[in-house]
Amino acid sequence: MALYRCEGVVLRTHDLAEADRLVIMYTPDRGKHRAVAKGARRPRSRLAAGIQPFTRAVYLCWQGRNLDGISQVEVVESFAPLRAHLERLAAASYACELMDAVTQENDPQPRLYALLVFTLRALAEAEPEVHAESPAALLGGLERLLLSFQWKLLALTGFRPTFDRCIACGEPVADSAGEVAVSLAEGGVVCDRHARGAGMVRVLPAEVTGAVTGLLRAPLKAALGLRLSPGAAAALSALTRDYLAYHLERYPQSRAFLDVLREQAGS
Amino acid sequence: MRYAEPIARLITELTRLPGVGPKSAQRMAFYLLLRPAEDARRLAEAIIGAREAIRPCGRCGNLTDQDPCRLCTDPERDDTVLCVVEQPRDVAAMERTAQFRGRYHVLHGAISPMDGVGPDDLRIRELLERLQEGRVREVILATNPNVEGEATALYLARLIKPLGVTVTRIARGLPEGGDLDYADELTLARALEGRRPV
Ligand SMILES: [Zn+2]
Ligand SMILES: [Zn+2]
Repeated sequence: MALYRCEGVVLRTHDLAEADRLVIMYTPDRGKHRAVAKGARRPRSRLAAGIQPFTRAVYLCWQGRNLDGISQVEVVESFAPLRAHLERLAAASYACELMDAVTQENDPQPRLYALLVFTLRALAEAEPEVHAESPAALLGGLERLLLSFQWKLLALTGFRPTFDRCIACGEPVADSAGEVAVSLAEGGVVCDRHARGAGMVRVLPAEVTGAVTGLLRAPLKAALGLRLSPGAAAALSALTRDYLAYHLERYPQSRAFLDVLREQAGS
Repeated sequence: MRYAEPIARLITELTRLPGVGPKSAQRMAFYLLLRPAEDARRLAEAIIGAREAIRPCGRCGNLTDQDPCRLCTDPERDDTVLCVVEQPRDVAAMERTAQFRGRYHVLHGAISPMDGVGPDDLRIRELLERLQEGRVREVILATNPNVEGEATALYLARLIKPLGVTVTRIARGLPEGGDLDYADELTLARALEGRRPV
């Protein structure tokens, strides 16, 4: 039986017949990759710990006719805090669900893999400077990291937005009274002249497009320091959600649990 | 080859069962069809009989033929300790240990953000109502030691602790990533004994 090694991050698992689990991972060498972990639901399984969602590990796999399998696991980073704190778990679920949605098998993109690893590490380590014990403060920090993750993900998958000039004519766009028009369909700002013909136009505070440009330029962790007026913060969340939904044609289900936690933290 | 319609239908239905692939479904179908008709009728009647007699207990959520179930009405059991599990099969696993003499609450699932399963999809409201009655002093969270079970335990601990009830989690005799109902009785009994406050 042909064996091979591959590094990867577990995006999610599904229960299979008997005590097996199907592992869906993202790997730098093979893109999204699926493999079965036989007997992994049994308490004495040597695979169980290493195939938990969000784990980064090196897997020794065997080649199967239909489905490959995992024979050994060597954990590189367990990212244990992602499974030990509700807010971190919700955020990591969101990131991994999104990775699962935008990636394909046999389509390796090492930069996407690096983004995923950086994101999970940041979500595991994030310590908001104030009220670290408060779920609301932690959640706020994690949401900012997720914003950065989402825009970097969009940029790496071919949907980098253009915010410095009109996407139709290339002319610099003068913001009027601190607002700019963004076309979700065209993927950037549009000048007054081109706003009419463009699809899905949203008028937003210029602070919002400035924040996205800043997030795209800065390292992921810098997002923790992002400061926006309450109005701009809400507009940025909405723009991110709509932009993602428009270009990926789906939206992560994990959002709902983040919202549940946010509601409880607020009350 | 194409099967006669009744055979194809039987195979399709069998394929819906957990852990049954097309090959096993085919084998089962032909087994049933080549046995005396009486055998097939007995099986069909057992399925329908069980399905019609069994329902979730209105109080604990365990599967039962009487409501409330025997575990809820047994006067010998301790009202002050409540063990929360994901599935009815986990009640069976805990009962096999013969170590637990309190009551149960079955959630019928676990929080799984990626599958869109949230707190509202579980029997959490019913759990809080039981705790409001004021008799329970300790809640043992015996959800699976995997990501979904852990998320559920963390979420419940946060809801229940402010009510002044002690919340414990079954211990690490169960390695991370496993499923409760695959644990043997001894491992599970140790995990129950070694439960810790959360
Ligand atoms: Zn223009
Ligand atoms: Zn009951």
